[in-house]
Amino acid sequence: MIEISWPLLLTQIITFLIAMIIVWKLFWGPLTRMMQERSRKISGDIQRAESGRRKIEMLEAEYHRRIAEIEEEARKALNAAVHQGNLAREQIIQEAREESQRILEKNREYLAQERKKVIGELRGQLTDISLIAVEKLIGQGLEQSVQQRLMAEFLHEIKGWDKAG
Amino acid sequence: MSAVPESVEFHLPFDSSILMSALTVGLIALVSWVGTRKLSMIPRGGQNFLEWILGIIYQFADDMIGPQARRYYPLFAMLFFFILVSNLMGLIPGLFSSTSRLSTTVGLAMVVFFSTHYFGIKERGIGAYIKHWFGPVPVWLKPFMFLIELIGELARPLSLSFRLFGNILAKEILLGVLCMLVVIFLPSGNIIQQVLALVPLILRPLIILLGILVSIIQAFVFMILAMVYIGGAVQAQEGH
Repeated sequence: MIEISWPLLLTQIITFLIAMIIVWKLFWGPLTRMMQERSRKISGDIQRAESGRRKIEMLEAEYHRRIAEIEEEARKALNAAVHQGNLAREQIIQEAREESQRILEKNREYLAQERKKVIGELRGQLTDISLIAVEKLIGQGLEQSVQQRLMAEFLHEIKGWDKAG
Repeated sequence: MSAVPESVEFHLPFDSSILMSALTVGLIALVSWVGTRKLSMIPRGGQNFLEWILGIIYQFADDMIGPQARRYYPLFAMLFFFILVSNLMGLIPGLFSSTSRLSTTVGLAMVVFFSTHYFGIKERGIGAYIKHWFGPVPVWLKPFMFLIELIGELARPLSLSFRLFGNILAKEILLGVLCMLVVIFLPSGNIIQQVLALVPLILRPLIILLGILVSIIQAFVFMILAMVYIGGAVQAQEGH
């Protein structure tokens, strides 16, 4: 019942070993290689994905850094432009103020000259008109000395107007 | 002459366990062919099933032996499949397990025994391999250590073969006895015996379920012990 048949034992060993070699060569070997290849591929894919993720994180950090730099530069440029604009505005206002002052001065001078000129002309015309009026009023009887005195008084009054004007 | 009361006499010029072993190998080859005929990187169907089982075996081997375990994958895989299929074949009416023959289980244990020492010498060199048998003990203790190691080594194939043989033979005898009880009691014409025939009739499917469990566990235990023995032989730590 419990006995060992050595020929049977050897046959079983040989059957087992031959079966192992054939099944491994034909079926399990290729399958195992495919499993290992898949495992390597998955491992490689995971590593690549991890590397890609790290690269993306670095690029993102770099992107954020660059954006911050650009924003800082833009802010500085804007501030500089505003400052420069303010300076230009100040300068323009100053120049305009000076120009207007200059024009005003020039106009004042011109007006003063014109006034003098007009007054001089008016004085001459008034003198003539006054003389004509006086001659017409009092006739031609006045002496030369009276005419001159009257004339001097009149001119004196006109000077007084000039000062008041 | 078989210890198992077989329902079918094969009348072969050789021991019928050889036929059972051949059937076992044929079945393994058929399942493997179905599972690997259309190999794909995305496994499905039979390939998925085969990969699942082989993956478990390889994982155990890697955990116990380390990276060099892949050299022994064929042995571990074949041990597991051969013992499992052989054990399960005993549950099919008319067939029996070749592992219910001591010659088969001793043969398998011998394969493990010789593989263990062959791989141990190949990995570590004959000097280092023999040296580890004397253990890290004082010189005067070394002969005793050697004796203990020798007994331990010789006990391994004994325990491997008798454990498997005993479990599977017990399962087959139990199934055979239950079957015979049904065959004897049912056509007896005695009402008591016919009622009694219901007991083995109900018990047999339950014992078959138990047999499936035992078949898987025994295949697994044999393979794991083979891994432990080979792992101990090829790894360079002292004390193995």
